[in-house]
Amino acid sequence: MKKIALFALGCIFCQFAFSQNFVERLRYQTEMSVGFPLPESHGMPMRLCQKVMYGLNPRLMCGVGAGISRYDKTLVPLFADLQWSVARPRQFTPFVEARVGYSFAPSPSATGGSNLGLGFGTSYRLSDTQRICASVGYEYQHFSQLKTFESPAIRSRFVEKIGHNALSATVGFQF
Amino acid sequence: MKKFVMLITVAVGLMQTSCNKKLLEYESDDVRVEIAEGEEWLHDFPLFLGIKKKNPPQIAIWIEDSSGRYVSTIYVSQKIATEGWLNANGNRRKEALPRWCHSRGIQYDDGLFCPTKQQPVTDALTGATPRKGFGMYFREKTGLQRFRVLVEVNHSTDFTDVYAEDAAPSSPYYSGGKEGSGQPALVYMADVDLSMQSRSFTASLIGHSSPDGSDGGIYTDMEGIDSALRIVKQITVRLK
Repeated sequence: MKKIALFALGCIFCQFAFSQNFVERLRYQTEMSVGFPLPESHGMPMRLCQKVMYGLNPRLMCGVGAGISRYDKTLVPLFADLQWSVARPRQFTPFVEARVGYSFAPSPSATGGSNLGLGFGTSYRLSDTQRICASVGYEYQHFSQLKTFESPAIRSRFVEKIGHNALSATVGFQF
Repeated sequence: MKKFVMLITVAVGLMQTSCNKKLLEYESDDVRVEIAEGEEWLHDFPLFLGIKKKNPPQIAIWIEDSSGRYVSTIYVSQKIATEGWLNANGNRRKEALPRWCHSRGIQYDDGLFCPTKQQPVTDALTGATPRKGFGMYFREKTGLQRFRVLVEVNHSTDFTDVYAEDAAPSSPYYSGGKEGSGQPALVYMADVDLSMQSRSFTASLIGHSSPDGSDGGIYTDMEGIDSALRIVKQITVRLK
């Protein structure tokens, strides 16, 4: 199901790719995020992502992104993103955003899982095409990891399923 | 746009490797412990303002030799292993899994046998208790042919009329007060004999731990224990 969804998404974007209007409405955003774990979650996750956003109208943008994130294991998130400017674009423009996707685990001792992010922030216009964005929000990441313990007496293995909840702070550059 | 198509290709490739991975597979001489959850596996834990959260139990699994001498822990849930209790306000929760704590024989600076934040159980042995039953593998390396697999399980704030929230500290049914266990931890044991033909051993309930965690004994008086009996449906130890 995931393969079909991603392939369909790719085809839709390829269809639009040849439209000049489409290219003009494209924005790219590089962002870095750090998470502050909520109770019963451990470790400070970090995420570095690149997003491609399409402006449906001056206030609503949707897109897809990918990157690399670090929990107990390194994960590769792929996600769909929606960003809505609360006010009309100006020097400082507040926005809310939502992100949903799936993270893959390159490590042989981990499997990936779904991720979700919600946030609100503001962007600062540097030029007609460049903005700096800062936001805070909540993120959730599910993944599993194999834990192995070895001593002279025993060797034990089990799979730990983790649902990591964190408050996040994100800084991004849009161009 | 080429970059985007490449991204999609990489994503599909990653999905192939990530989605089809099986993390835990049997290896030679492994013994498998399976815990099937009962109807009381998830228990309401009060957070604040009447809001409750459904929590799985605290669990410890360890090995003893046939004379009852502790060999090793093979799994312990994260809260007790790291003193990571929610809303504990410094309460060490010694009544949570006292049989396991005392069996290890490690006494900490405050005289208690439960691991601390500063000296937790090694991370490779600890994990968040799954919200459903689970299984794990272990291999005993000292050559024991007969050993025991013990499992201790406990819910917090699992009160009954007998193990009440307001039981006096002098009462035999005192279990740590309003932040305590309520019903004490239950201990299950499977006697494993590798020389037997049988490839499967079912753990049986051998009693409950000290209600207030003051010792590591096993008590067979089951008065006042009801829902705790339904935390676990079955514990099975399997040889391949």
